[in-house]
Amino acid sequence: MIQFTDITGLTGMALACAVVLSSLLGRVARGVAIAPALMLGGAFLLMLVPVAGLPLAAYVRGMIGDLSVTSVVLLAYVAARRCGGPAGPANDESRNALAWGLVLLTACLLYPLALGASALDPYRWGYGDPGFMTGLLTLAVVGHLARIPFVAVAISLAVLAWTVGWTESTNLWDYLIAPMLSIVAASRVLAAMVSGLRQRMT
Amino acid sequence: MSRKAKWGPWAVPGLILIVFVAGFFKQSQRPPSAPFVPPVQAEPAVGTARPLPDASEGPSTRFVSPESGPHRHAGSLVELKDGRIRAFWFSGSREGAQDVDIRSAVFDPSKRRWEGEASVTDRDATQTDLWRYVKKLGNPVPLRAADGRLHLFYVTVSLGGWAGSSISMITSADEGQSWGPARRLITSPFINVSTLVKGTPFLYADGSIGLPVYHEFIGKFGELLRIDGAGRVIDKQRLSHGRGSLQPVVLIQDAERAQVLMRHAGPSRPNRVIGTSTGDAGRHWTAATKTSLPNPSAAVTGFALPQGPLLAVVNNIEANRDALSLMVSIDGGKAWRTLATLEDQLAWRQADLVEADFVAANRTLVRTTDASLKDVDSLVESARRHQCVRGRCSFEFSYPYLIRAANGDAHLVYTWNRSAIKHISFSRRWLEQRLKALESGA
Repeated sequence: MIQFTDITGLTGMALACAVVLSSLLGRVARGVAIAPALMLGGAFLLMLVPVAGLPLAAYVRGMIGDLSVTSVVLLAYVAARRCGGPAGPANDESRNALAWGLVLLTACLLYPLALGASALDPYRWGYGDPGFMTGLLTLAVVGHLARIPFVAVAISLAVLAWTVGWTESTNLWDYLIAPMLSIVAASRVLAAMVSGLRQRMT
Repeated sequence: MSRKAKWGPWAVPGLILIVFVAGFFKQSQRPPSAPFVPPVQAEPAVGTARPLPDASEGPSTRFVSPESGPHRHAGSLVELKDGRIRAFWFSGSREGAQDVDIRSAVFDPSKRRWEGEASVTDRDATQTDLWRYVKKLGNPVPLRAADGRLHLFYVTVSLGGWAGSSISMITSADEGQSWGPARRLITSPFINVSTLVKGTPFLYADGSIGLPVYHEFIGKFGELLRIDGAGRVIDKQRLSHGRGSLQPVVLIQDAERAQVLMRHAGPSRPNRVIGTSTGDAGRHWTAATKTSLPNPSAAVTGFALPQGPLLAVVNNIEANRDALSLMVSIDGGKAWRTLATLEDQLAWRQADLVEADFVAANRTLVRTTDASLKDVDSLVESARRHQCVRGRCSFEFSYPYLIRAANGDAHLVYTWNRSAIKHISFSRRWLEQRLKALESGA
């Protein structure tokens, strides 16, 4: 019988694949008029089609694991926007870049240390270290006060999901950050830097 | 004033407040650290287990699964409630092949025979249970949980080689005759690679499980997972770091003290087993350092006797895996002495070991291991197929796994030339006799 955490894991992965696929499809078939919602919905359903006993999304899930809650929230926002949903808070490029920079910095510290670069293993904190929780609370409050809602809301939703056991992982880090989110963060930071350089040069 | 304007400023702070109150409550429910379950004095044999043998009786040997054919590797053991011993190993056309499955058989000491070999799980069953693609299976290690059920932790790979490993777990309520669905343990933030099992799991006094694991992706190091009764990871500790150690095994001496032995994996010489220890039930571990035990980058196993001596089975050489010994330390792991030489084919190192010599030598080894085995040639042929390349051959005795039964006997399984899982049982009396002889300098 399928577990609740398999449903959340597969749904998140199908959503991620649907956003990527529909984006690619949108670029390939520019002349063809297909409603974005239809394209997204079709790609989402396609990822749930079983092949050799497993949904397509399960193959991607096997390779890269479950997405963090922050990733799923962002993907859901992107999907909603494509389908004509409301925009989020007013765009502030510098604050957005700061948020992505925070994700990238966290990834650059977490992954090497968790993979054995030193005796310190910050991943251990994610099993319920009170100091880590306090740090996250502080960061969420600072994010709110600094008017970077992405930071405050993403951290809060990640803690909420960890509390209710939304995915297989019992480690809070897995709800906060994922390698794919880190790659997106790196590309956003790079794009912001290139944009900044161009502005200076003109 | 609109509802949005009225509640808007408080939505995010309210979310933060509610979520973190719940989060801190969950955090407060995490079980505190617990002492180890110390080794206990041996009990008389129960159920079908035969009585203790004569003191003159030495180790007895046999193959767990002597039929020729597949590649067999990574045996492990657990004692059943009736005193029988259940073994697990993986088997397939080659290590890492998609046809590898986890197999099991039961040893009845009263019959001195392995029987009931059956498949426990395979790639298809595991990926169906896990709802994710699984490419291959690897090392299995069993544990009897505090509630009496058997857990089997085993390596699964979805991406790449062994560096892409994760751990899955299945549970049996009927002593291993049937198993429930697999569950994935999440142990690493980087797409959940790369965590593997090899060392013997153990229990803490509160019923939680200690599972020694290791990484071999960018780093090669040992870790210790703590898992609750429901199979959820609740803590993880570093036993070493860097690129120099693998496959930890925890030798629990008492409620607070334990020694960890790890396979040497780095380029630094001399090649020695890596060790670390704790004096506070694992809350803190000493820095991992080389012990006096030689090691050719091969798995080690062992346990602590209740009287204090540590037993370990190692390839006590610095290269290759053609010798295997039962070692003992009576000073807490500082000095080690050979209690018994289990395999020794070092003499062949001087010669160019060609197939004919390898086959002849293995024929003798098989007959010595189990004189009652009828089809010696097919097992020898299987060894030739797995251990000879372009006419040149090598012996391999590796991946030992040692347990102590409730009656004080010790049981060891290890990979024999990648063709069979060999079993050696040591009676409690023989062990005591050998320890006394060593202490008296005999």
